[in-house]
Amino acid sequence: MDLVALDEALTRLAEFDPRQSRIVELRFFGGLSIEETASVLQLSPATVKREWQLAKAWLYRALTGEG
Amino acid sequence: MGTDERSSNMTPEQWERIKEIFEAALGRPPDERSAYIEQACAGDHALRQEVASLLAAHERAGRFLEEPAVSRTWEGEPEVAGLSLVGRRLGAYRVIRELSRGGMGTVYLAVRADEIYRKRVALKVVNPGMHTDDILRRFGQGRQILASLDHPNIARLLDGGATEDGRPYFVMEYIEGEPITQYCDQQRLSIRERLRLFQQVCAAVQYAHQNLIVHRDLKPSNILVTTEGAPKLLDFGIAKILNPQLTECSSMTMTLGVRPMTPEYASPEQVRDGPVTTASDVYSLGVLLYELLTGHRPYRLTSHQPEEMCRIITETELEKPSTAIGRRDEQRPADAHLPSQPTADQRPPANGPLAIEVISRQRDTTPQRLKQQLKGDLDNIVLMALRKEPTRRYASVEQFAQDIKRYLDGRPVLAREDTLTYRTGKFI
Repeated sequence: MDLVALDEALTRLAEFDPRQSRIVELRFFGGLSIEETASVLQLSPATVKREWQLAKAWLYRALTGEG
Repeated sequence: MGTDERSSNMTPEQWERIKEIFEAALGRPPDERSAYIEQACAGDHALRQEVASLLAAHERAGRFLEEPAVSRTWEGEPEVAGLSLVGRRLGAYRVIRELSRGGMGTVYLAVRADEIYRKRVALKVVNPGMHTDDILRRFGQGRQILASLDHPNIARLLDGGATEDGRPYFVMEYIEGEPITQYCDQQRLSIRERLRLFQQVCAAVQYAHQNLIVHRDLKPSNILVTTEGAPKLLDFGIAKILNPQLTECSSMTMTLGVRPMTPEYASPEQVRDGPVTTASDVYSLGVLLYELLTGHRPYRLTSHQPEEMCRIITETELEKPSTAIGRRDEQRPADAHLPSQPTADQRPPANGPLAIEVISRQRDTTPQRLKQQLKGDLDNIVLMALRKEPTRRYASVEQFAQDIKRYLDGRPVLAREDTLTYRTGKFI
């Protein structure tokens, strides 16, 4: 995993979806579960899960160029 | 196709639309998704392509990002919304998790977010609402001085800066270790081994004093011992910058509202609002040595009332270490205010009496031998460092350490029994 590239991609993601970027920060860098992330951001776990899926897909594409 | 063009000029509205269709598509069976997107995008070719591309990425992503960057080894509640810096980027550092939290500041584990990503640091940030002008000013002054400290037994200050909302933070070398008192007990270090370890602590403090930096907050949770057995001093000079009146009676009242602090390592002049000098560090080191040798702190702080604690510290005549080992009355509140890394002073819940047998065993000896060993020279050395009047203590940490060396070498020590007996009525 190229963490520097991920860091840059996260910064770009934050430009149009800061909340998704924050979810990735808490999940990936903070090691929080879906439920914990939901409680920190005061969202429902279902929302976190949905946002997490899309953020992952977007970042995966940004990092690999695949998609 | 590059993703940059697709995302760089995307409007929030477009993104919302993508999100909506992406999520709805995922809610359908895989073989119906393509038809669904076709219909939902209603002829918007770019939109259809973007959603299809993200769905394809989703299929391939698998376990991508599912394993956290740093394995989570701590237990605890997630933090309060808005306050947490976990996951955020501060300067060149990415915040990983919270290590400890106090009324004034919070300490995080962080990593450098560049090519040397694996370097771990402790990031100490002032809590919201605590960054007064005074603290900001002191912070600016202090950083320059602290950055100059370069000693193998002092955790290095690496960097500093301010968060987006203007709160200052320090970046320090991250030390994995345990509080010196705990380390000594767990390793069952003998009195002589404890004294040698203590000498290394003295050398580091002396080095800082030569650079005109007083620690002001020496206590076990600020003196960690690594697995290699090397002591590392944390937070040099930071107490003064972040907490100018840390241990003074006047501020105890305020601090108590947030979290009870333990002034047990503070010198009489510190609690009395007097000038704090290198002699105050000599005193705190005396408290530490007392505890390392006897398993007890010098005072029995029976009250958490500021005035009462002040009275006890400035007026009580101290028991000799050789008699204190027989004490069975310990109440040891964890010392707390500015949290230190990586754990606060974690000791067994010390509500029960620490029997002299346990204390002796932790020092690899018997009660009788321990008493014999402390009696005389070591009693005098410890009590010399703990004299109420700064001028009657060892003149420097170096002299303190030299007297310990004399003891270890079997030569006569300078410290003598205090003939000027301290009287409780002195200040009345």
